Amino acid sequence: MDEKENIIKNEIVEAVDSSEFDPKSIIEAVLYLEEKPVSPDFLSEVCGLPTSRVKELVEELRKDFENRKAGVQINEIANGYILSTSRHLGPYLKKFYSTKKPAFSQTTIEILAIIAYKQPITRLEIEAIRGATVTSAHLKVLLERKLIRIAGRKNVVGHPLLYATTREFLLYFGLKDLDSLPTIKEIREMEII
Amino acid sequence: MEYNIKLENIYEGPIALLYDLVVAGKMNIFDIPIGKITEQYIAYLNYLRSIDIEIGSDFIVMAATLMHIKSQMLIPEKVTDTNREREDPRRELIEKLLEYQKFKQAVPLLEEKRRTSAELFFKERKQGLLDFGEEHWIEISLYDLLNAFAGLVSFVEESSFIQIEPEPFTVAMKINFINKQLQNYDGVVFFGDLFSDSYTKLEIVVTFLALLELVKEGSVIIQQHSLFGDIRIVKVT
Repeated sequence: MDEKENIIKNEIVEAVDSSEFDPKSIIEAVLYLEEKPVSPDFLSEVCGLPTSRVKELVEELRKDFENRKAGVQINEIANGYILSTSRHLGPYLKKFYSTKKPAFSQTTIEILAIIAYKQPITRLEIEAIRGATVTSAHLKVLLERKLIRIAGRKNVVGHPLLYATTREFLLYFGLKDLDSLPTIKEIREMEII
Repeated sequence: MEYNIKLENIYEGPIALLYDLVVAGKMNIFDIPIGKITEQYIAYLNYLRSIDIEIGSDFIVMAATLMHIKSQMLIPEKVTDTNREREDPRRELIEKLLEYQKFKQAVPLLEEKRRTSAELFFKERKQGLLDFGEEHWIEISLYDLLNAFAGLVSFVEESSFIQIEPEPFTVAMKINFINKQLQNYDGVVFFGDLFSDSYTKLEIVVTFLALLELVKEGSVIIQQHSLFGDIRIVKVT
């Protein structure tokens, strides 16, 4: 009995030592465990591989999932990777689950858009662009949902607060980073009647 | 020409209204026919007034601005000025409209992003019970502290018998007590723990006064956990 156990133990230790693990499955495991986006740097540390290789492996894994029409998919959000259910299952899952994504009023989204593209920005500056008042209630909704944060104070008279978007904002819209915000098209000249 | 602007479009600001007029009239935003837009703008304000909607002063200011621009456009350019290009009096207005248009266009794009990401379901983020990470502690105001105090006092039942006794506790005593607790627990104690040995309302009140005194002195700060709502007292070093 004892001998047998020892043999098994040795085998385990050997297996760990020889690191004969498929890094792709390690990545899959980590993505399964984590609830927040996992940075490529962290994956590279876990797998002991350079970041560039990790990125390739993630891409392979993503394709694997896609090819076998898996129930989950890998998303690149907030400078990291995160698992979610597959897009095509969305309409079906909606019957049983809620995404818990709060919807906002048109005005609030407009304010959020201005903050996203112009950050950091003060309330007065948002008002100037909108040509309308921005109440603290509007900003409070966004602050409470953690979509924006106070990023400091502007060094002008009155030291007004500066607002910027958060990581939660990227998660909310499923964005990789701020650069992947939809680019605002160059202004087209409108036709004259 | 008639422009029917839906009643539900109660504009938040004059720029929003102007922008809609430009779009509805298919005007060239870089070469706004100022006479036409002024006319429509004022017609709209009159319409609002006719249905008894109060018009904000910023709308009136914009009406004045439009008329000012219009009058400037009527002044013929001086012959001597032909070499220098005269600044378009509409410039500021056009810039504002362009900036506004950018974000007007961004909203549906973001909305689209939101809709696609709403098709995805992520793992429920469990807020682990052990997650007492430092980043979750936020400094709170005295009002929050008073709220917590009110909750505490409501637990203590008032005895129906009144006994008159000499004051067994003083604020100074309780300050010492809190300081000692802080010393014993590496400078951090939980709000509730300060009162765990208190049996009477008086003792709770005195302890609370002692705590307020320490806050006033600036020797401690009060923090609350953003997820669990626990309040703790941290010694300022």
